[in-house]
Amino acid sequence: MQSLKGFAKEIFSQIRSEDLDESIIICKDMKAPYGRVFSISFLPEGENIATNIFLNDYYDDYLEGKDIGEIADDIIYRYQNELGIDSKISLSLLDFYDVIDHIIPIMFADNAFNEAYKRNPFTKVADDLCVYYVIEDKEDAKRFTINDSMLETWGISVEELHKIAINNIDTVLEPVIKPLNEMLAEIYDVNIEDLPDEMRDDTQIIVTSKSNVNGSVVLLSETVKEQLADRFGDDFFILPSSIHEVICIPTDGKDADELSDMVHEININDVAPDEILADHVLGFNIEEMQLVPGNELKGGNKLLFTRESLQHDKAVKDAKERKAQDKSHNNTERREK
Amino acid sequence: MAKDFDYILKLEDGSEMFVEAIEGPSDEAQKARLSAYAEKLKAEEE
Repeated sequence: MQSLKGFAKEIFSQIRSEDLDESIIICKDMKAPYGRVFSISFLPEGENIATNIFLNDYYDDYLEGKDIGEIADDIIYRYQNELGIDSKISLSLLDFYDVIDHIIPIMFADNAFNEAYKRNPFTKVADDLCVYYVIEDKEDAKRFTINDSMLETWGISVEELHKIAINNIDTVLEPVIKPLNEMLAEIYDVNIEDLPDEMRDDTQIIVTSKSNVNGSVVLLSETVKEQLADRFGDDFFILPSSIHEVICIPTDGKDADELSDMVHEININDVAPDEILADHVLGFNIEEMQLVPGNELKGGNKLLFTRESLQHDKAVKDAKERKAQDKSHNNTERREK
Repeated sequence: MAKDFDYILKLEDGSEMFVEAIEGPSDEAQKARLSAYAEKLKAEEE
C-alpha cells in the first residue's frame, strides 16, 4: 500500500498520461487545519478557472482495495462530466469599479462546520458570520470568494466591504417577502386552499432572495426591515429556518425560549448541517428598527445591529471617492511620464 | 458528505480566488424544513 503522497503521485501520473483536451494538470499538496490535503487540479488551456478535486476520500477507497487505475478514471469522468463550470468572466475582478455593484454578503452559522469561512474577510452579525462574494450576474451559477488579497488590491477595509455588500442586497439579491403559505403552495404545487390546515396560516412571513439561495442575509437590508415593520406594525420574532430564508411571525405572547427550542429541534431533524443558520430565535424591535436577541425583544439593551451601523451610503461614497482620487492621481502620473 | 472539489480562479496579477458553484436548496429539504415550521407553529398556537 502506498502513502497518501505516493497515491497522489501515482494518480497524477496516470491522469497526466491521458489526453484531456490540452488541460494543464497539477498535483497540489496543501496543509489544511484538519491535516494534509492532496488534490488534482485541471486547468483547460486558455481558461482561467481550474477545477480542483481532492484526493483524500479517493485514498480511503484505495486503502479499501479499489484499483488506482479505476480511481483515476473516476476522477477524469467527474471532471469531464459532472464538475464543469462556465469559466467565462467579463468582470475584471482586480478593478474595484468593475466589481463594486457585484459584491454580495452571505450569512452562515458561526460553528465548527463553517470555520473555513473565517480564513477570508468576515463580519460577525449576531451569532452568524457574514462573508462576501462577487457574483457576475443574478443568473450566474458561480461566485467568487473575496479574500484578504482582494481587499488589499481594492484598497478597502472589511467595514467598507460589509457596507457595500449590504447596499447591494436590494438590487442583486432581490429580496422576497411573502406569506409562508404562498411559498408552501408553490413548493407543493397546489393552491393555498388545498394545503393542509396547519400550512394555511397567512401571518407567518418568509423572507428570502429571489433565487431562494442563501437568502437569509436579505434581512440585513434596511428596505426589507422597513417593509417588515410596515407589514407587522409591531415587534416580531424571526425564526432562522436556514441560510436560505428566515420566517417572521407576530409575537402574540409567544415565548422566545420555546421558539428557540423549536428552531433547535427542526435544525436537528430537518436541516442539513451546512444549511443551519442559528439555533435561537431573533426579534425585531419596531420602535428602534433593530434586530435583537429574541428573548430581549421587549426593553432589551443588547442590540445586535443599529440603524447607524448599517448606514452604508457614506462608506460607499467615501470608498468610491478615494478610488476616484487614486485613479485620477495614477492617470496624471502616467501622463507626466 | 463534504464537498471534495472546488474551483480556483487565476487572476491576471497571479493571485487566486476560490470560486464556488452556487447550489440552491434542494426542493425536498426546503419542503421538509418549511413544513416542519408551519406544523410546529400551528401546534404551538393550539
